[in-house]
Amino acid sequence: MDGREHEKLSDEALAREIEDALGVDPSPEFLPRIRARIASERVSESWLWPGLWRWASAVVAVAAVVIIGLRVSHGPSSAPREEHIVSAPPGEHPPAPDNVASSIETPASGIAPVIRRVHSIRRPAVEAKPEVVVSPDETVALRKLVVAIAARQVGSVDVPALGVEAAPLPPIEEIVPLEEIVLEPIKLSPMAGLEGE
Amino acid sequence: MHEHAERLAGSLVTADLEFEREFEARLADSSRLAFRVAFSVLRQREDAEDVAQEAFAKAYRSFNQLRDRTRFRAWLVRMTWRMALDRQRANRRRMVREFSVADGRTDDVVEGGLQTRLDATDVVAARERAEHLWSAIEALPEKLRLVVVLAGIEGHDMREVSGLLDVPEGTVKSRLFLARKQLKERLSWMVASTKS
Repeated sequence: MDGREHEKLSDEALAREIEDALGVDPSPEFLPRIRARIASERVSESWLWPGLWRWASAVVAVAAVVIIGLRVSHGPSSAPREEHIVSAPPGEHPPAPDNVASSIETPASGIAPVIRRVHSIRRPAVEAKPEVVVSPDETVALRKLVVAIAARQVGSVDVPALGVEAAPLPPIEEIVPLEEIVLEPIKLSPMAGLEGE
Repeated sequence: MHEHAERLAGSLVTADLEFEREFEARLADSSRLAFRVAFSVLRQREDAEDVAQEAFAKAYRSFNQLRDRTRFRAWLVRMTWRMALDRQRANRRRMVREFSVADGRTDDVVEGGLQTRLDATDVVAARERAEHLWSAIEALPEKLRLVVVLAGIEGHDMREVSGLLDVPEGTVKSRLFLARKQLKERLSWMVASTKS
């Protein structure tokens, strides 16, 4: 097919031309080279999997060491705290920290209220006993009452017979009226450090 | 326990041997196809062999992932085509860098099928003709180009090409028609310009 034949190029001629152009065969070494290449793939593949397993086991081992290390490093800071809580005697309390709850108790005879601080430190359930605040006189009286009830020595109680009298109220003249409390308005001044910002 | 282990090892070895045998059969069956697909893009025997070899190595690595083994040729063709295009792009970049145009590529064509039909006096005309033809093929859109190439390799018919490309036969037919039409137009124009 030369230049003139291009002008009347038929489908068949074109197909034949393309087939001729593509009818190139590989060299005789082509197949052996592919086989050698595949053989090398096989070898590298057989090395690859054990290698992967080795890497995976190494990663697992490192992770285990890290986890154990973290646990060990965190252990000493938490253990003494528990020990402190457990070893704290029920009656003694450290000086009042911020995490205490206050309870106000008004005694029968006192004027100013008594403020007792109750620590809210957590204790194990075995040692947790509720704190009962009873004066020694009342304790003795209650014990006597319980013993008397047990011995059935107590019947109906006549209150005036017990000699208990109501406390006399002070006369009205002695009551001093309270002065009016005047509160000055609160002024908020801006913080010096923040003015420039 | 020991018997079970031996049986398991034996079955693994058998499966391995079957795998190797099957791949060897595919290799023998499709090596020329892979080479020619690569050659249709690269037009250099060494490059085409390299690409086809790489394609087979890749196919070997992924052969187990191929569910339908009867689709191996189509799979290989697509893989080789893509790899050849990649190589062609890399070659062009390299050539641009080196400021040298590949002059010897028509030699490979002449080394091939055409050479057997030509005597020494037709060498120059054959080179020119082959150059025109390859230029026209290369100018085709990729889909048309692949159909033309596959139809021109090993006398594939429409059904075989549609199987290789995984497209309907009608699509192959229309693509081939369009491709041939464009090729004829381009080759006629080139002839006209040569004559004037």
